[in-house]
Amino acid sequence: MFLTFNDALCEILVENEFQDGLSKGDFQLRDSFRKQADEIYTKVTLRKRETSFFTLYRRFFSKLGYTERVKGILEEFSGGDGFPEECYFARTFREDEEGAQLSEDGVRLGFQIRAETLRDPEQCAYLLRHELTHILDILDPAFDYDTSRPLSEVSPSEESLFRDRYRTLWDLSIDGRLERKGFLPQDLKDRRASEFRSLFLNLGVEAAEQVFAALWNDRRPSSGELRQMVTGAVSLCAVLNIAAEIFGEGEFQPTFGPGSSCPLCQFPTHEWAEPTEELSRAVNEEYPAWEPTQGICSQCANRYLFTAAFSTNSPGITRKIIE
Amino acid sequence: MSQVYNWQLGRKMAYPFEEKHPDHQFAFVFNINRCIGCQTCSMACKSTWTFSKGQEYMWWNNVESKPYGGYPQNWDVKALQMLEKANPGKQEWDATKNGARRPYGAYGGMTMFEAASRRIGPEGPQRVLGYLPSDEEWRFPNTGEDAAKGPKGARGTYDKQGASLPEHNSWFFYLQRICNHCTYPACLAACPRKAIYKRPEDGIVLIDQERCRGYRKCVEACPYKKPMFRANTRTSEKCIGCYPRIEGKEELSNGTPWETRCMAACVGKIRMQGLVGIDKKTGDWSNDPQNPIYFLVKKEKVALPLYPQFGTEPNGYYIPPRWVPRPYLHQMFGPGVEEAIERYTAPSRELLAVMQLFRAQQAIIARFEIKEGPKVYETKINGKPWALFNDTVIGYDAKGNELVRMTVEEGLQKRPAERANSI
Repeated sequence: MFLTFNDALCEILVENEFQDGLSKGDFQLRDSFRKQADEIYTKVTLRKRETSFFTLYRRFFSKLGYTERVKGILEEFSGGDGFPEECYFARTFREDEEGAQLSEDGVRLGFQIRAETLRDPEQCAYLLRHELTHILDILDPAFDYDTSRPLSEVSPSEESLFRDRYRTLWDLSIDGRLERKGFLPQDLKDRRASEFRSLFLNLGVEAAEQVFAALWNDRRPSSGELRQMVTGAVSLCAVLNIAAEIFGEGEFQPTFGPGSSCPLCQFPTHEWAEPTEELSRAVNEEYPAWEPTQGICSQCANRYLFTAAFSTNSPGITRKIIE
Repeated sequence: MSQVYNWQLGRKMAYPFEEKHPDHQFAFVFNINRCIGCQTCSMACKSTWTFSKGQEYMWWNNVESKPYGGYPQNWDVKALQMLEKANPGKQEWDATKNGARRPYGAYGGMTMFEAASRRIGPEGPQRVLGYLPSDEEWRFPNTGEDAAKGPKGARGTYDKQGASLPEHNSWFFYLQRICNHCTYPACLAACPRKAIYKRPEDGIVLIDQERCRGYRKCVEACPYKKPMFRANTRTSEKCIGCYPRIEGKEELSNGTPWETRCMAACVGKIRMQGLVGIDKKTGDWSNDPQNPIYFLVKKEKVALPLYPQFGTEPNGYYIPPRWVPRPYLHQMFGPGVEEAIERYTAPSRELLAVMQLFRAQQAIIARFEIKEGPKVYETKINGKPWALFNDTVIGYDAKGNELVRMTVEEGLQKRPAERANSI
């Protein structure tokens, strides 16, 4: 596999190693660099200075074992059909921007990674394994990864909610697999559980724990199954074959926790509206897929009732309800 | 370390080199009260000196909103914290000990040079107390722009009675910054390659690009964080005080020394730059009350140095913003803030005339003269009577040639009655 690292990433990591050395009273590495850098200043033209420094930093970067660190992890995943042959590592400053992306032709793999992550062997190994598992899923025809269709046919806000859920469910499925292989850092399972709860707040605490455990320990879901799961707690449990276990014989009674997000406006709310028949009709005019089990905040409820009251398409709803 | 005299601190202080002074010193006065934060100065500098590859994050001139802004982020907060950590609870001024050579009293705390000995790293004690800003801290020069300081502990809110002088409860102000071309430069003191020097003719501090090896010790040491590292040449660069213009080599200037680009471009007319003579015996400024910079800093004492406690004797001076709470200004400009604001708020006849010279033209004004005019207005300021005179101020260059003539009252152009509406 052919690896390339962003020059600024190499530079900052090498400079950090110098500082580490200096703080321990070890000047050798820094002095050896300066000696070679001096030659660039004196013997290389100004025009070629930058390139020469990049080469020098890359040499030190490799010498310090960073290339091997990454290569080792990549080799665990490469070898299969269609796995990209080139990999580029770019620098990012934010944790939420870290990740991997496959080029459209599937030949190149791009990573965005922070210098801090690459410096920490455990953190780096986890990030690479997590992202490479995503890539393997994408490359697997059985997973049936498809970005051409939106997750929601209804609205951008629902698309945004479903996208968050898709990402989280896929992430935790991957982390479950990594844990079984002994590759998951401590505390990460709790973080994933909390992310899961925040996206399915209407499940309630106990049910959320059961569903999370099922998902964590389940086989890998396909992209199609993930698409179904994101639509709501009922579909999620149905795909996981635990609907009866979670909801019993009766109808699903959602729990709307204080501070959880309203599925329509996405704002956290402490005031959930009572889903009446009139309200359902009013909301369904704009959001046909919405069901009372998904919950609705009182502000949204007022807004849809108000709109419906003045809409000619809703003869059943009278002005009375807003008086 | 040698002992050198720092008149801004009113005492001698430790410095890694012997005391030595140029013939003249590049100095400037910025009137914070007038700045509108338009960044024309920043762009004038950038389009002249730092528009090339590798200089993308390099702003030799920048204007930041205080208290939250900073380029690099939090540069001053970090420097002050380091000083406080080195000498806890003792970073204080004794403003009672003033006199001709200690105009603001005496500083009893530690400077960046003195505190350096308390922070011993693996390479031994630092020459100057400092830190190297991270890449992230250089990334956003406008962080905190126009963000006002509200009530303490209440995030995102403003005081309901925010605006009433003498101090506003909700406030911010623009701080204009270039290299201070310090009398005792920290960058120069820290450079292990001796690549930084102070020009003997005008005190402008420059980095010899041939000698620089990119160790970034100057970036680490300068408390104002004005030397900047250029990634493609692997050397540090900094404001050069537009020295070709100061030398009169600007093509259109006919050999007359011109002010720097950032000064000349200022649309708010907040800037004045010049050269002050140096008394080689004392290292202090030569007595020259007709030099506008000398007049503003030494005679009228309306302009104050930025963070004088750092100890570098910066040559940039600021007329403090009159609406800002005084403790903040005391920390930033040292003692003398009250007096400076008082004098600026009810300016003397002479000061009001000199204020007209700010950005009146491009050439450096070496001397001014005032011709008295009639009284045109009377009022009371802070309960005291105050009068406005329409005096005329005349600016001269170093050779005595008249450069500009301004009246206190703005000139009026009368158009002929038959073409009153034409342009």
